[in-house]
Amino acid sequence: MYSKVKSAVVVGLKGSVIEIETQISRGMPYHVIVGLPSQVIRESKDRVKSALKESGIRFPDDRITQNMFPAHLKKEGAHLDLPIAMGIMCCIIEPKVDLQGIGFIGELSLEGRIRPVTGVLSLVEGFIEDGLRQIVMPRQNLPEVGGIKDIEVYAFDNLNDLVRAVEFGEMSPASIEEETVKRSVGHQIDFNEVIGQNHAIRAIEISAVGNHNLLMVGPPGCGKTMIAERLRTVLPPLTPEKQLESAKVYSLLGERSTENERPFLAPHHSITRAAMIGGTNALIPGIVTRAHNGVLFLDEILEFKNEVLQSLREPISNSSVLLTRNHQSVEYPCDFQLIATMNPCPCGNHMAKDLNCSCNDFEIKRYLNKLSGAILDRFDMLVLMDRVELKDVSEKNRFFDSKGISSRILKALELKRQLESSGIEIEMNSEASSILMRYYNSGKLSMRGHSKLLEIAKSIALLEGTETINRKCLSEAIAYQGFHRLKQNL
Amino acid sequence: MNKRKIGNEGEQLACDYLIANGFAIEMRNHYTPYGEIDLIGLKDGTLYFIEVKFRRTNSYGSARESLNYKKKKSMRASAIHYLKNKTNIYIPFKISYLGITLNDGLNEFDFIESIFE
Repeated sequence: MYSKVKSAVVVGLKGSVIEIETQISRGMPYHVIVGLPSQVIRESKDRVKSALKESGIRFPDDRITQNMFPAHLKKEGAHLDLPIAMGIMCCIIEPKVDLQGIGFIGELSLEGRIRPVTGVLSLVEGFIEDGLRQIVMPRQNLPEVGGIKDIEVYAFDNLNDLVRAVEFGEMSPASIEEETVKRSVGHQIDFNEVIGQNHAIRAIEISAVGNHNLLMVGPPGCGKTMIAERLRTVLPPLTPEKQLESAKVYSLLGERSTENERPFLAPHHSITRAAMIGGTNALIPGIVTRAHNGVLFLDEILEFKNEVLQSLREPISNSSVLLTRNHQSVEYPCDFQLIATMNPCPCGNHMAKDLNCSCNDFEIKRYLNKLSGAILDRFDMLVLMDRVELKDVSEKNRFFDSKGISSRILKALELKRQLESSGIEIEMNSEASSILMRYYNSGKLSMRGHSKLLEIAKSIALLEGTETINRKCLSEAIAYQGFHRLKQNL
Repeated sequence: MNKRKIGNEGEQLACDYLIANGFAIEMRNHYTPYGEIDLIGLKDGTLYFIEVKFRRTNSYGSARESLNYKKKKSMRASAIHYLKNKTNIYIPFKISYLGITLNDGLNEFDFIESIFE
């Protein structure tokens, strides 16, 4: 007795279709699964046996040999319970449906229930790439595939129903109701709670338009963290394609991403390199991949371990990270915007207007040197912040609110889309280019810095709603290039 | 009725079944230091060392399930002991299993030629 069913496994973020062959021959009771199964799959033998018995199928007291093709690929995940059970079942009963056109995924409980699995989006994508359009999956996973077109999904709650459907050839596709997870109401914060620091808020606004990496430097308690945290209230929504990318990452981790909200990740500074970049033997994605299409916020960046910061170099510039362990490599996307805060010196008061810094030059230098030139170079914008003056506090100088900033950002992005679709490049007028020339010749700008400066100036122009970079835009962009000032006079 | 009697009854059924299927019974209840061999049969020049299991009910697990690793090991040792002592030439042999289950008054025979495959 022989049968063949199809399933898939996840390699990195991609799904890869596998075949499960089952052969049952007369012999003493024996069940073996070959084809590089992981421990989870070896354990699934017992789940499958119990689930089949509970579903009213006589589990064969014979020699069962199951092979997973291709043999070289490591098979991981409890979602192979269902295809393994189907393989055995289809040897016993005569299936009335064409098994070669169906992909099976699902975890089984001992009583025969089909439990939800992780990584559904990647698996389904693997099926589609292989030309499989019919997919049997746990009912609880149904909402996740709502955004995918051109597939027929059969959702089941328990093995018994599935067995009956396959035996009598009565499978009807489930209608997919797209269940949207509402925006989490947890953050009721707003930019209008910030007093003063208008230039920093403006910088955040610009960085959100062009996804520029931003570093905020200032004394303790001046509002760096407060402003950075409020960035999530003004982030533009994800486009459908990017939403799918993010959903795949979160599906792999067994979580649901929320609607079209961009991820905002703020790891504690004690984080390890493996947690940040991803890794371990199972090659799980790290924080940088979770922050894909969103924001990675490093509060007190100097407190992070040096190896963690250094390992961020390639992810920042490449927008993807290639992990290699145990003879296999996977590539995870990590296109994030980096926002970081730090103090200018150990006591925090260096460069503050009316506070005395108790650190000597050497201490400050040593403190700032923790942030290597390579990492510093990856920040596009620097904002120096100072204590808010008392008169601002009393006047309750609240100039910005999240709603206004958000609508300005959306307008700028809309203009960007329009310009891109009509093929118009943002040009610089002659006055601005002469300023840029002079600034470049003063030696403060590298070639890389030059192109970054232009990007920032473009973002500012978009916010202003103009198609040319004028003097004002350029001057403002230059104002965010204060990296040399950090180590000035030391 | 004691266990020996039940065993004999089962083995008699097994003998009848095997003879009907072209086996010649060489020996019954052969004892070795490693355990007992229920039946030794000969067919087409091959010796069959047969373990007979007789079940009236499957309530305590099926007959097949009762053949565990320890039993298989002792059967192999017994078979080799028999071959060493009783034969001078090499005879191909198989270690087999014959399960008999009483089902609705009818005996169901479940013969597995080789339990080591």
